[in-house]
Amino acid sequence: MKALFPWIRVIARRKGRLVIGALLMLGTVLAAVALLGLSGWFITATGLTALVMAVGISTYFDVYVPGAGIRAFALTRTISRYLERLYNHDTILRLLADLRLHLFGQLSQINPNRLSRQRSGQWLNRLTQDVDALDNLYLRLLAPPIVALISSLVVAGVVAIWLPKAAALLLIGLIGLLILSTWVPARSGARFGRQVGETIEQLRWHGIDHLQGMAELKAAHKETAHAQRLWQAHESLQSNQEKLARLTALINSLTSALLALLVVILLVLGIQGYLEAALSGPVLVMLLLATLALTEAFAALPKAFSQFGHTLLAAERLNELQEELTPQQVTGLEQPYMPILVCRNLSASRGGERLFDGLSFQLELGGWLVITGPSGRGKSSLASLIAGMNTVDEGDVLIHGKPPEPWPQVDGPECIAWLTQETQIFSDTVANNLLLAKPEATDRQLWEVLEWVELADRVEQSERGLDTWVGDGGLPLSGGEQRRLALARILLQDAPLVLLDEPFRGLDATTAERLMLQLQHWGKDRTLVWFAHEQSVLPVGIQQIQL
Amino acid sequence: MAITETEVPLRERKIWLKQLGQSSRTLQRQAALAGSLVGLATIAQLALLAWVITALLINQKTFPALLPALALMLAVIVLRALAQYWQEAAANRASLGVRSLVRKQLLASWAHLGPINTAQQSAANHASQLIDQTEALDGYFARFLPQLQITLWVPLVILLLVFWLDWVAGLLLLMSAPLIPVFMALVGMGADRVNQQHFASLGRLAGQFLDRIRGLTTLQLFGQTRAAKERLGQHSDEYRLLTMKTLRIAFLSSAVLEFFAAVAIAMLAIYIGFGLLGYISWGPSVDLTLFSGLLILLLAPEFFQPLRTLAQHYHDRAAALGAAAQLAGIAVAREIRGEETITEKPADNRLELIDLHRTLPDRGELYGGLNARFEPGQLVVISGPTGSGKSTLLSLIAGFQAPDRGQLTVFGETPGKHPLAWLSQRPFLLFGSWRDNLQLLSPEASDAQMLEALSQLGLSKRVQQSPQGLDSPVGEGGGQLSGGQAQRLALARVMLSSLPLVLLDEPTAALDPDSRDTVIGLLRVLADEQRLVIAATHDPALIEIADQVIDLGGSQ
Repeated sequence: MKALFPWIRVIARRKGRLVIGALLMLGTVLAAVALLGLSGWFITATGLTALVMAVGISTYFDVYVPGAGIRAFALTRTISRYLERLYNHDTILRLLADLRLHLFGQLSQINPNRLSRQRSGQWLNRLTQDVDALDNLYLRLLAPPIVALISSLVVAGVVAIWLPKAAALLLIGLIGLLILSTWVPARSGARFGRQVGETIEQLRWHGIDHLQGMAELKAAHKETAHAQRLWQAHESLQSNQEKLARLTALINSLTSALLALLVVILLVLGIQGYLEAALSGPVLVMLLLATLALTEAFAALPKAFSQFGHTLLAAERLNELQEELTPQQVTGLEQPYMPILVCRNLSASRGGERLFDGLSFQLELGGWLVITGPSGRGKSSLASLIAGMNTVDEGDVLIHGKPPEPWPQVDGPECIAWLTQETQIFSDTVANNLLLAKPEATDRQLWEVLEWVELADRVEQSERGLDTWVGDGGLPLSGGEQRRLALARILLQDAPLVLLDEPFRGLDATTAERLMLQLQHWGKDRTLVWFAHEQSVLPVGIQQIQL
Repeated sequence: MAITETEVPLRERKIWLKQLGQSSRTLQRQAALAGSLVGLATIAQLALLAWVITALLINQKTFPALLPALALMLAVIVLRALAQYWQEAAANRASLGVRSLVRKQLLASWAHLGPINTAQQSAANHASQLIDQTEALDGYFARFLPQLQITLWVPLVILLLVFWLDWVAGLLLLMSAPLIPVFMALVGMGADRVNQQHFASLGRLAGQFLDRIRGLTTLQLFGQTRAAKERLGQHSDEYRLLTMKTLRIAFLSSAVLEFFAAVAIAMLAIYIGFGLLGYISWGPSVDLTLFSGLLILLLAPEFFQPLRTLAQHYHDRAAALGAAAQLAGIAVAREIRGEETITEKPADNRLELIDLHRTLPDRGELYGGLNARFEPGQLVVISGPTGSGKSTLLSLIAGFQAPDRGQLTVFGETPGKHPLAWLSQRPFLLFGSWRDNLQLLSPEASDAQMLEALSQLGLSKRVQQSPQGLDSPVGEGGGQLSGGQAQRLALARVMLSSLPLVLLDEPTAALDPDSRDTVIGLLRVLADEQRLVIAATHDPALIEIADQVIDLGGSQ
């Protein structure tokens, strides 16, 4: 339960909207209660009046006020339902955005090294699902029980005018019903709901294993055996789902039976009241039908609350992610020194395996250094150490004479531009992708860097120029073009110390050689560390270190 | 990973869903039957209520005289609860069955496509079909379809009953009855539009969110996380405003349904009231009693209820259609193709390539009639520049693809007939414990054998450090395995097996020097165990110790 609190706090920021939305829901339920109750009263009253008139006694019965009331409630119900749906959809969209932005804000302060420890990027998939599981928190779990409670109080209050004792009993029954339809499924379904969430994960892993290992499995004739293992996960998922569904079905039918039972009990007590002349016939019918109309307030509760375990699991998993949060450190701005990079006696290991030992080098302003070595030898780790994303265990990294700030810094690493081995081009315009590096850059500067990486023609050809959308559904860029766009971004950033991790990855040799010339020109006054394979296109005549 | 619009047209998706439903027809009928029973029990319950009230108020019955009816009401409540449970349980089983069937088909299609073709799409994508898309079918089969059947005939029963009670009231309901198909279409179109708009913008928003999270490092690199967050917020607002514009219209259609239902109830109430008072002097209203009047009033909301429920479940249909877009294209696996005949009876103790040809669309003819012969106990290296078909040759030997021309026999059989060990460039580790991984190829391997294999590969320390030993999960808790360690673990697996043919794709490319020496030494050991070891590589150290080298660059 506690796991939900941070998320409830996020939602609660929109207190006003939540209250109005719940009031509209309440209005819809109460209008339905009033419509049915008043109609019942009206018909019974007319029936009894007719009986009196049949005996020959002339009476006056006002049909117009109740008739108008019935029409008014019919209309109110329709309108408040329409407004409620509209208003709450709007709220849901806002809450979804709030939850995502909140999570994004938290994640952006975490060193992504810690996130990628989760298996092969799959956590992303889970993340979206977990956020989606939370966006129903308000509309399904928070507001409906409150609406059910208030409408129960209202109906019981009306009953109390004529039958105080029966009202007390009814209220107890309705509160029991509320517990039955919320707490009971949440409590008894928690285990299954959680297991559903967990077995779904297992099925996903087994599925991914099966696909990634298909060559191995098929070659060794073990494909069927592994498929059986996957199928076991499927069966255990379905068995959990079935248990949860049975439980929900049971509580659903118990809920509607208990409400019907309450109506019968009210009927019995009402008959006694009628015989004791505590209330008239039409009022009795009104109270009965009003209670019957409460179905609407309770019907959706059991299903929503049987998912509670799953929701809780989602919240817990998201909270776990956030616990990775590194404490933010506030650092005073200092006058930057001359950009000099010093690595002294640097060692690094990964998974207990030494990558490099006692590495030392030093770069003066404008100096270039090439670091080569086959993949897996720690080139990218060295880049991470310099940029501050990995922490130094042994030895020192000094930039302008001080160690790198702990990652991430709000404004990015100071004075360093780093072209990582994997780069991300966002689903956005070309300009926005570039402007990440330098928000204040002019269009001319953008064209200039595009020119350098030989993408200007490609962008110019498309109708919208710099506003061309790239990524999902936009201008299709090949892997090499994406790489060049990422490189352009680094060129734009204009930082004094530049780390290039396999800058020509995915480019053919001729393009790489042309770009090399551009880079050598561009990088004349910059300090630059270049990481690459021995076989790649490399700047010539530069100091090289082999890992 | 964006929400992609696929080519499967709506009509085909509907047909696909319908065919899927065939498999659980009986359960769906049960659910519909039970749902209709719920409807009938509700009618009975309301009739009893109307009767008790009339008996009390009009006929002045005493309390004991009402008891049988009250008892009957309790019985109906129990019956209704049972039917409701049955409906939901049956519908859920129908849906579970359908989802099982879809998963089975998916697995069959994976097996049919094989490792080369399935790799065209990311594993995460395939897995999302297996999990998310399949689960998205739930609501359609568990809720929408049974409700559709109930909607067809529970209102009909109510209508007949109301006609019998009072035909004018029946007519009033009937006037809205021809409207019901119109309502349904209206609701349907409205809901479709809601869903399209809603799903599309939700999908786009989710896509953007994922996109930004995936690129978090890049954003941190440029110190742009705050700006990105602001932009995400702006986009959300823009999409929200756009969506709400459509929803305002789209929700109207269901509001119209609600409106008619409410107006029908109000009209009936007023008609009955006036009729009972005798203000209406024509038609059947003269015969209206409190019982019939009350019952008609009570039944009127139930007349519309199934339709309203259906409208609520409409998004289940949209979700299923969305999933169908991804799933309807699953190739239903055909029978595994027949054995290829081998012209000459080949020798059964070696691997032979005779006049081998293979053309790939983007690379042209690869081998130009390759001839070679390898024997157990040999360490064979296939070398050559990138794109010369090293990996393709391995997959031909494994039987994952067939040559265009020429003959390839493995120990006297068609490739793929004999089990063999395959090691990809990126070694495959199972999501599980060390034991799971080591016993993958040889389930009977003992702990001692496994530990021995691990120690030969210099991995035993990692296992011994963990309190759970062989049962500790691989790559979790204590940190990930490096590429070299993963490769060595995969090799330990091969060592434990007695598979006579071992194919390796670039086994040393991603290794640190230590791991590389261990791996090369081990390949030699495997060959010395009288296995045939074939590695595609351009590692000079490996080429140096090979017994035979096939240089694909040279043959071109």
